Amino acid sequence: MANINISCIAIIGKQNNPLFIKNFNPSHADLKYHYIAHTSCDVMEERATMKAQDMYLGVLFSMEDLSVYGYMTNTKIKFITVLTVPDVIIKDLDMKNIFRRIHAAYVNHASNPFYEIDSEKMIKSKKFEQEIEAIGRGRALEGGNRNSLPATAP
Amino acid sequence: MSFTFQHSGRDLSARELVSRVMSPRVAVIASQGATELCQANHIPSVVDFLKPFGEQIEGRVTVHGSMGLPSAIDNFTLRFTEMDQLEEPDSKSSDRWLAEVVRAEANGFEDRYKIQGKEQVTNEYLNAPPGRVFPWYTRYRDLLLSTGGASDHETFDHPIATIIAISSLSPDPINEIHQLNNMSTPALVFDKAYMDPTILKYYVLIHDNSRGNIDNAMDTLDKMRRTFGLHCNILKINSENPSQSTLPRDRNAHIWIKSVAQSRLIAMGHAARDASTTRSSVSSIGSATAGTLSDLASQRSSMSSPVYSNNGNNSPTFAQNPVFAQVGNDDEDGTFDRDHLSLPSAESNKLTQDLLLRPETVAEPYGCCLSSDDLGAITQMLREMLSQSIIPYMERNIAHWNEQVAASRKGIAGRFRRYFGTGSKNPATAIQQAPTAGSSGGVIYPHASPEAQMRKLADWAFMLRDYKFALSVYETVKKDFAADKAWKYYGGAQTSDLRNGLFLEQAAHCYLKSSRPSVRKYAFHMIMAGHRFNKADQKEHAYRCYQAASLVYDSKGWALVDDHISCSLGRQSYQLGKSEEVLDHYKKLLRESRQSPQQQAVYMKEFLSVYRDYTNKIEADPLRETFPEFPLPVVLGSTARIVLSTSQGVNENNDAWVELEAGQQSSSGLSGARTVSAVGELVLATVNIKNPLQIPVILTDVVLGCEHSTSTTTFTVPVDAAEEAHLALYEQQSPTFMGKVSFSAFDIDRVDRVILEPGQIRTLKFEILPKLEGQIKIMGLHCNVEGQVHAYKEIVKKGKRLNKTKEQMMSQVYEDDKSLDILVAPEMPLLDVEFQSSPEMLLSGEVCELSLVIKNRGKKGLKNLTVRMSHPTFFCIGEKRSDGDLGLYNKHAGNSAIEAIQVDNALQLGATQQIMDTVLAPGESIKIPSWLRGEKIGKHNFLFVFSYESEQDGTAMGVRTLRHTIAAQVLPSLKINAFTRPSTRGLNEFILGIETENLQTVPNFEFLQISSMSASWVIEAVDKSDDSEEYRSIAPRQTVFTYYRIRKSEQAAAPTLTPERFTAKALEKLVIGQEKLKDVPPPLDLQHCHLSTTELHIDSSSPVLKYFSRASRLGWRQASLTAQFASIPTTVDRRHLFSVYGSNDIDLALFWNIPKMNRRGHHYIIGINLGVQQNPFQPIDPADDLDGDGETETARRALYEQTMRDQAALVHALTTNPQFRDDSPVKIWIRSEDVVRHDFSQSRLCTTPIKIMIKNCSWNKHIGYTLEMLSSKDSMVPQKTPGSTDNQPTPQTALAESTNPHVNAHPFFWSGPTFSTGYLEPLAEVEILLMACFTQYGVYDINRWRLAVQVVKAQRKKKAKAIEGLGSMGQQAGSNSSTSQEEERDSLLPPVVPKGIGKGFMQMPNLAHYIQVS
Repeated sequence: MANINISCIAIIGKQNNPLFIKNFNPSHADLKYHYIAHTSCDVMEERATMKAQDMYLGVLFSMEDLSVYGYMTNTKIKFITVLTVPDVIIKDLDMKNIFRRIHAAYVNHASNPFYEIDSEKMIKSKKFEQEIEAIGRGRALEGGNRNSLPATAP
Repeated sequence: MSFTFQHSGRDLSARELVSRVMSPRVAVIASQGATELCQANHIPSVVDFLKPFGEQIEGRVTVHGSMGLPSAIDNFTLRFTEMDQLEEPDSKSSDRWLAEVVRAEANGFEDRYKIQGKEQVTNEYLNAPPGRVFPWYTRYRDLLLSTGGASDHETFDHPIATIIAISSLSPDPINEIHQLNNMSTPALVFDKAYMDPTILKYYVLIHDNSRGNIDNAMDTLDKMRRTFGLHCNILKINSENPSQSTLPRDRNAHIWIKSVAQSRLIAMGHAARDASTTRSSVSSIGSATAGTLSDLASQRSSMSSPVYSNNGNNSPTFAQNPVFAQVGNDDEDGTFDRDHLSLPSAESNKLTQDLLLRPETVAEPYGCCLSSDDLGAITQMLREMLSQSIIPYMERNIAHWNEQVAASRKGIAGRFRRYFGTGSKNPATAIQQAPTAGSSGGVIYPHASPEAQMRKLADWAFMLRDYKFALSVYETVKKDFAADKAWKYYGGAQTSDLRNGLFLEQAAHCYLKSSRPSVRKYAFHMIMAGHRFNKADQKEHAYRCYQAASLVYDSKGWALVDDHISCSLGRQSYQLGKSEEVLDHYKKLLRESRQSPQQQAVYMKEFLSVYRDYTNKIEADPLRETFPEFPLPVVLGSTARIVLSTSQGVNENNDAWVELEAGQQSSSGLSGARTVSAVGELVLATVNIKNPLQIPVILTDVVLGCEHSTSTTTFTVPVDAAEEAHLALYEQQSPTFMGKVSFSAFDIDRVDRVILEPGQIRTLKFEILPKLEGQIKIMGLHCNVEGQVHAYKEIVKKGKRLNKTKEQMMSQVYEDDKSLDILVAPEMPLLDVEFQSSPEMLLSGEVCELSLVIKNRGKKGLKNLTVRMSHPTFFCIGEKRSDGDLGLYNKHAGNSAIEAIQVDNALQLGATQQIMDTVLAPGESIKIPSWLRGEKIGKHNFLFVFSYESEQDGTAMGVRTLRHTIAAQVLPSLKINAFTRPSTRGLNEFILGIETENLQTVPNFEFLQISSMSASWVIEAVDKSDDSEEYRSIAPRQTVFTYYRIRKSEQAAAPTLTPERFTAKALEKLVIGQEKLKDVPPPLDLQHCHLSTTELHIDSSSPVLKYFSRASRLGWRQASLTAQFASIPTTVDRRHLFSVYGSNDIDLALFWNIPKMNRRGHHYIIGINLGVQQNPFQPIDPADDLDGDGETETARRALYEQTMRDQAALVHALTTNPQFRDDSPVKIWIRSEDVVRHDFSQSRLCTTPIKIMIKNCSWNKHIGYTLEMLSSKDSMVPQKTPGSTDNQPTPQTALAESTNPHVNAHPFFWSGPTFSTGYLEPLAEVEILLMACFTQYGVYDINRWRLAVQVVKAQRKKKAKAIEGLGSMGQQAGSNSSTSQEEERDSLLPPVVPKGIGKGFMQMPNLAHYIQVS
């Protein structure tokens, strides 16, 4: 997964409200990813009706040098990952892996009994942010204990 | 006539549009004479003359496609262009026009669809013509397409044919044609390598019907045909003479209005373009000539700028023309300056605008010389040209190119050639870079190259609508272009910005028109379009796009996007001068957001400056005008509250207060959730405000906006109440009112300055002083933000959520909140209380005297003062009475006394105590003596709620309350244990032992007196001589035991209804379901018996003592009842079940003092019950029922099974109450002489009478008893009783044995009847005389009996079955066997008729009773 260069991870709620948007690419403003994330909702809704089986929706669209991948859970929570297009081909398997990790992080967070799942508020959680940060920066977490993130990975 | 002219502005279908735009282009060269003929019609040139007719050539033409199949095309279109205007006009000016057109369309446009989501994508929207949804785009498109020019990459705008037009009036027409034909200067456009100069030529002779001779003209035509071939035609026009005609001159004008205006513009553009080209790069034109010399050339000089001058050669130069001068300027600085656009200084600018936007205003009577036949002739001529010349020409060429080029390319050889022979056809060899970098870049194919020819083939096929064929050719040629990377790029930032903007907007609309409308994509593209429009200086459109997008994003949680849009909208509208909207948009930015503090500071600064400008403009004082719905500060309405200045300790012990105040008939502060205050009494309002921003915000002159109404019931707030209030406030911003604003109905505080730190929440407090009766409603908060904006924030507080009706449940409906309303009552008394000399510390049991000072601070008299206390056992508040009988310890002579005092036995809390029944006038105060007794050890907060009324009746306030708190700590003093045991002196006598320990380290406690309080018992000294000095005082850390005797009082009058009977009856009523218990126990006579250590005794007549003893007793009683009867539902009032005192209870009071410290007090010992222990829940025998109404038929009233079950559970809980263990109600007392003198020598047997007294101590149980005197052999008799001589023969017995004839007999036995059975009513007693026989001297335990007691029902059955052979020996029969319990429960269950057998007890002696025989 070394070739995957994540620019942004966004999580969008049931009502297409933003829950979490994290920008990993300093060369673009956050605003851009907000727009991208919002626009993705349309594509995801369309995709999701077509193939109801898989949560992974593949490339939603590409914009300039960015390609946008989508993933939608059964509860209509949408995960969006924006990649800076690399020269090599990105395997779906890798992307699925990333999304699965995001999903796991989200489920962990949503399991918090104090988290209001339908509140439509942005997620504010240090731990969740750390996990997303780790995913976004491509840190290895496979099989590891998610509660003890390696704080300083390259 | 049938001629209809299609206006170019009309909405065309896409297909129509494409076929029209992609129609063959025809260049026109006209002689001076021909032009003049047209100008007679006020039409500047031949091209303009023909143009409208080319738009739609009526009729059907037949076209043969690539396969040679004919197909028909209706209404073919031809586009006419001046020969020298084949290229695009000057991009700057055309862009300018485009911008103008686009901008103009924005004015007054109203978005009628307002797309917010999929719901708004209606059929109405989808079917709306584009001119309705985005008119600027259709205008732009039409104008752009009409100004397009020949370019390198496609050939649609390359001319297919040329019309060479001369006038029939020409003296030498053939020569003139030659002149036009053999122009020495070739048309610049054909210099370009990509232009194919070999095109069809068509010669037209224009004949003026009114001036020329038709025969001459026909001759000339013949000549032309002979010279130039068949492509010649004649056009006869100008049949009418406008000066003679009666027809309106402008009857035909509508045909030309638009196209002429357009032509004029294009001509202007070309002039400007030529100017710039000549100026900048004349040399490059020369170098660009690639040897393709045209035999066609145009006489440029004769045709330039026909707009401005009709005198031909003498055309004005662009430099003189202000329009182009300005365009020149633009060229220099490279951008469109806003100023240029907004300053319509030059008249020509107006002309341009008119041409663009209002062509009819600059129109002339076009076509005034044309008759309807002439118009038909033009169409006729064009149709002939089309069908006879142009179409065949195109068909021929297509067939040719298809054979020559395309076929070879399509074959396999062609493919190979592509790969192996690239070198030979590498376009690089033919590349010719455009002379100016701005126009194009990359590869250009010369017209003769196969690629260019292929493209041309495809384009031509397309024009003839052979789309399939065209597509196949495009596909082929596309690959070549792709391989050569011959991308076409457009330069020029501003051009592309406008175009980008327009196209992005179109793209946005396309997303809506897809099968699944993608509203978000639409919004995103609108944002991008807005951005582009902004760059292109199209403020209106930028604003419009952002506005449209904002509808989609609005309130969906995309804060960052919202902020971006608001900011963009704000800036756009600022530039558009829409001040009010600017403020609206900036308003949205001043909120809690993810923006950085710096960004927010910028927003704030911009906002303030815009607002300043705005207020300056409308000449308003920004501090006077309220900014509507200003976002700062955030008022947390739900936490706003009103507190009366008279209430205290709101936050501490709230539950305790609520409990205390719950008992008040109407609490004073609130009336229907409204706060009630009185005139002249301050009300404190607290409001929390928050700064949502990350920058500090300064608020000044913060005042609450209140409304006053004289009505106390209804309150209608005027619509502009807030504004009025503010104006009133504003007028009062004078320094004389520092910190306070005064109104007629109330005064209110003003906070001069508040600095809200980022994110801070602050509580603001305002004092409101009502001055008039009525209502005051707190409406909102007035403040000045940053000293520049006046904001009014409504304080919104919701009431309770309503959930009654279905609608209320479906939505969220709230009750009106009244908690911010103040009901102003007329002047009221205002109580002020203080406990004077209240100790901070006192000893347990100590009694201190305090005085309660009551003062009326109000304006009215005060009456009905009552108090409720949290610790009623600690405080005794005296009543305000005239007599002074308030002493604590009244002393009387004599060291012992008994007094009878009747007490209220109802278990009533001394809940509300009346203090004063007179009126306390305003300003007056009185002192009321009170006592504090340290009832319990610990730190205590004593809460008092005083309530009182105004002497004036019927005020809105009713009862007012006042809370008061005092605190004290109670330290341990004496530790007292008391115990009783039966006395041997009598049946109903007990010895009371009191163990007293001094827990203090310093003081000596001195006993003063012990008093007993009981209905039936009195206390007396055991021995008067015991009363020595050492028992009178207890040194520190010492313990002293004192003993007293308790006996039945002789004086006690047995009440008809004892408390026990009352309780039993009440419980039974409860069990059988008599809902309403309303009786309370009758008063009880208590005997107070005092034993003093001194010559004086303290009597109990003091109300203080009475109060304390009763309060202590009540407290204890309630606590124990709570523990014992948890099973009785709390809804049942305990007062109707239980009494305070039982008839066998005895309470003791121990009076002491510490002379050195001048402290005195008394302890109570409560809870000694000398009666027989039994469950208070006793079935009452009907026969025994005093009321006689005891028919227990009520069981059937229980209609419901549930009730029955509850009842059974209650009965079970009551009967098996583990708190009570029934003891045998029978007491037995054996009396005999202690020493029997007997001389055995006289008589071998010593017989002495033993009296056994059996008493039924129960107040309600009838018992049957069986007394059995046991022989010494009886297994129940302990065989090794100390002192008994039965087994171990002493010398005496040994001695006696010889004389004893009954060797085997026990020396002690009963003689006579040893068995007695009988029946005892409650409280009855019986004495049985028995004879004991002794055979020897000795000491004998005569306690050798067994008593079986059986509770029987009141059927007066004397005979009760004795229960024999009870389990194990030596056990008290009081232990409940399960069977007897069962029986008893059975007997209690209402439907079961009692069987007559109750609980049984077996009693055995547990102490020895010795008798000496000597």
